[in-house]
Amino acid sequence: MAKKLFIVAMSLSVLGYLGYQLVGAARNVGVNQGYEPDQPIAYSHKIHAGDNQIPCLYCHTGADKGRHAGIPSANICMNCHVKIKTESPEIKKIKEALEQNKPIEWVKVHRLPDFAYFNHSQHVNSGVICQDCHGPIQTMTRVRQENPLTMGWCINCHRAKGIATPPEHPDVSRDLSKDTKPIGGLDCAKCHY
Amino acid sequence: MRRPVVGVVQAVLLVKNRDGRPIKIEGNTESPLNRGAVCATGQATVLGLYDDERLKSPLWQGQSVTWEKIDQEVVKTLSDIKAQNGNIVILTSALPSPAAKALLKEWIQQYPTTEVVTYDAISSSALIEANRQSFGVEGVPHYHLEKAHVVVGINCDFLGTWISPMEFAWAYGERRNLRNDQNKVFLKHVQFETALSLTGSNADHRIPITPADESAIVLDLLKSVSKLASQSIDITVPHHGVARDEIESLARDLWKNRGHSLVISGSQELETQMAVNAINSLLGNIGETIDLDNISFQKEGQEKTLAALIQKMKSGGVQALILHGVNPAYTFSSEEFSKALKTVKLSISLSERLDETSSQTTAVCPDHYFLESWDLLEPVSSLLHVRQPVIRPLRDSRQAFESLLKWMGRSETYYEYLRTYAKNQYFGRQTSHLTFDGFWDRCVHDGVFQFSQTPSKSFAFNASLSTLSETVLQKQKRLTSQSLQLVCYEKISVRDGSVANNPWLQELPDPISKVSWDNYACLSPALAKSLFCEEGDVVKISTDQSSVVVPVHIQPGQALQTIGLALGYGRRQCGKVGEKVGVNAYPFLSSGNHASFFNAVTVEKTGDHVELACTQLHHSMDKAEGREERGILKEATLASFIKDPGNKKKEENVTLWEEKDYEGHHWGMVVDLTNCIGCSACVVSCQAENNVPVVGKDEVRRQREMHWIRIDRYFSGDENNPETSFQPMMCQHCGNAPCETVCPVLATVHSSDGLNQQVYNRCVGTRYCANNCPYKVRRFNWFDYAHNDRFDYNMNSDLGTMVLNPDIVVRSRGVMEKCSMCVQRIQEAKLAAKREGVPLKDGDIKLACEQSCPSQAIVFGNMNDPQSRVAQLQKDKRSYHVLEELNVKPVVSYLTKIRDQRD
Repeated sequence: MAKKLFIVAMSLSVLGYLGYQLVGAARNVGVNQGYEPDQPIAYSHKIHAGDNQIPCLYCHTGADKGRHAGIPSANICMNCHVKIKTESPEIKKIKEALEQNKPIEWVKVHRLPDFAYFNHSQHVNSGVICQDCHGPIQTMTRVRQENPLTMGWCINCHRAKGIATPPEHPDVSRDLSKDTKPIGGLDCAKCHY
Repeated sequence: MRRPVVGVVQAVLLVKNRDGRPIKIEGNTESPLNRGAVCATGQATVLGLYDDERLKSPLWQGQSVTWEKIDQEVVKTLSDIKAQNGNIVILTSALPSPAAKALLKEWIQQYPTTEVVTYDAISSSALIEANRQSFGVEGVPHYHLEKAHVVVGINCDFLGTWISPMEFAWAYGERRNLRNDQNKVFLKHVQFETALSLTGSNADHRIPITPADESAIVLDLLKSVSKLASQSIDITVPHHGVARDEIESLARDLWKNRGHSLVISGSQELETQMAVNAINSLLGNIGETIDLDNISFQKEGQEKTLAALIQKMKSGGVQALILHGVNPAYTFSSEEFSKALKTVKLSISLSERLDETSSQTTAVCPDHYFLESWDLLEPVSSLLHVRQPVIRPLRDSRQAFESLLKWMGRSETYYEYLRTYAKNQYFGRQTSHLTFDGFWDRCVHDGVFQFSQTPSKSFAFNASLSTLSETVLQKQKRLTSQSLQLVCYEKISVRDGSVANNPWLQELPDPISKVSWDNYACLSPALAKSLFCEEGDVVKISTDQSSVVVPVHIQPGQALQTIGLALGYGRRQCGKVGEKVGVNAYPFLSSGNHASFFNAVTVEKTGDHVELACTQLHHSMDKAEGREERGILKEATLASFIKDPGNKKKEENVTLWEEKDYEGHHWGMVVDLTNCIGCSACVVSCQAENNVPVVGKDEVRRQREMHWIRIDRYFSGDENNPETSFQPMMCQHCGNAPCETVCPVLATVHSSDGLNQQVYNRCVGTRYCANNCPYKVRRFNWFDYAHNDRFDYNMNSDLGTMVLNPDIVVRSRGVMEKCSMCVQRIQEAKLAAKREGVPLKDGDIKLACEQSCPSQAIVFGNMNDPQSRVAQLQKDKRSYHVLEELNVKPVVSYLTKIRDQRD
């Protein structure tokens, strides 16, 4: 009898454990935290954004204006590299791409599913810094996805942060705050449509 | 990014570009012609850009070749022909572009044996000729419906298809708007017509007439008006179907509003148009509602010209033929045209695709799509439109007139030609810009430039009234017939058939018949009964020249003893979507000497039966007889509305649900049923904006069409001449939404600003919500329309998917969807306001349906703002909710439809 009980208890706990693992795995479907692919050109954020302190917006020109931050076009690279390190084999790749009029096929790292709407400019202009979502990008030699980019992760931040008030428009922000409590709101259709 | 463009439908457009591809067409509010609205056909033209069937390169004798090769061949042959003094003919549709006309003149200098023939399959030639004979002005006048107090339409679908429907619809909405100024004169509209058209269905008073009676009725009206004008004409008008006192009271109405009335006719009988001119002249409308000093160039062509050309070709009189914007093998006669074409040494089609005509020509030099090209257009005198490209050409095509420039041996591009033309012809006519570059930039930026117009004045009517009435009488005598008569008409969707390969337009239900994907013989219920025909019975309709086999649609309001048949269907070659849809009615037109109608038609049943894809009974909210009691559709006459404007006092209903409190915004919408003309522009606009899939004829028959907004059409009263009402119906975003309470997975929930949200990722497809929705507005994805080969429309081709709005998800199989109130537009406007740090203003957010509405029937805004238009209108006495008894608290209010009728 005790043996039987033991077997039942054991199999239940094994099943339970497996179930737990399964749910855990299922929750991570499509979550690419830690993704760090090889890029066609060994570009280093550490050198550019870290050591040389080039502002992020110098290259990612769309981040404060539109939905997408944008991958810089090769001519932005050449603003400097027309003079700097022109002999490096990696820089030559850019030059080649320009000459052949072929885009560089960067590998996308941060991929949001297409059913989620995200707008860079909204966040950048509200004082969210790049590192809040992208991690210590200025230390990365190769870009890695630092955060899970799941809905729970978005929502947690939105719950925690207060309403960013543009100081030059105090009256306006009070009005706006009505429809954005908490920021961005928790309505499904704020991001999914 | 939105850029101004001028569309093929001659509306001035703004095109929304995303990642370099046009995805949505909207109206340009700068233009006095369409004032921000675009018709259904215009909305759908953006899909035409991504049509797989557009030619990828030029063709020489059916083989794909380079432009160099084709230019070489063409120039060689043309110079040979020129050397031998052979005839060259350029056959073109009406050209609203003055620059293109000038270019053709230069072409003639280069090739002096060239003749330019203008041909429109559906033209206004009788109107143009009548104006020449009556007033010495050859052209279509610019009508000012906005100045009219009474309008009489005689077989003239001016809100749907005639000349400039968007402009007329705007004026119509403006003059019949009870919202702004209660003291304004309410435009009275009387319509005489054979087939029930969109225009007729909006008329206060519609009188069905047989086409043979048309001229007699016009003559009778002329007689009555001339009597009032003390210029009596002494004729006996033959008997016709309209009562004497109706004509007389109409004449009195017109006379009372002389100078503010308008009589228009779509007739292709010269005499009838002359009589209409005489009426307008007697009423003093010339120079008031009819502007002959600034004529419209929207219709110019003749249809008779083609028959003469074909004769000439057959006798070997044409050596080279260049075709632009025409498809005679479809709109005329395929056999005749092919026979005639054999005698032509060089035939060049400038068509963008292989169609009935271009598949027979020596060379095909594909033209750019209008969204890829530059042009200058002058739709109405002194109103300049500049069209600019919004995308680089997707195919190896070349602007048609650039091809002509090349063959003239000129090296300039058409763009350079246009600029030079504008510099020489237009720059000097304005004073606001000192440099041409400044002027040009302004034109390109706005898309529109209005030059000062000649003040319109009255014109003397050249013909004698009595001689004119005598001629009409003679003509009428020949027409009178007791037999069945056939009328051909244009539908608001595929129009003349040139856009037949557009799945959005094919799937758009006709607002009157509610049938999609087909044309059909419209029979009045009485005629159908006498012929023992039922809906869907296939019949053979024949005249002595031509016949078609087509299913029957029983159409209340169709004049007795007449049959209506839509043009634009039965394409044999245009692409996978448009081919084999319906039957071609053009052979009737070309064989019947281009009269407006055909006598002595016989109808015989073939014994077959088909099911039309008719959406009328789909998603029905109630039986027709219950709609007044249940408050689905409310109507009133103008007199009773003035006497007692109030709806019944609303009772406060008890509810089980907690009262919700909406802080900040609470979105709402008002639909004015008096203004809605049923044109369906909103349906296509919504489809384009929200990635609504096309499901095809078979699925429409199964009630599975996916449109988020539908136009419900209701008939009431006499079966032979019913009153028609339209009601746009979309998700009502109920405060106590019945759909939300039955969803087991919380896939449909309420937002903090009062929207009913559908979360596709949560939806498991139980369809409980659709069953519980009293308005029947939820749509279920029975298939993965975007990835299923059975639905071979735009979503399944690489090119076709380019039109998809990237802000919106393409829904997958097994999920429910419905109107989201363009939440992406709400979000976009909110985010922009937040970024700029300014509050949202009323009118900042325009939903796709509201945006395209030509008659301003739809208003959207924040109900929490007491100053917003929505909040104001919801306090209007006409305001009510559909199915108010259910107390589901919809945020969409409707305003009672008002007609100017006697009680």
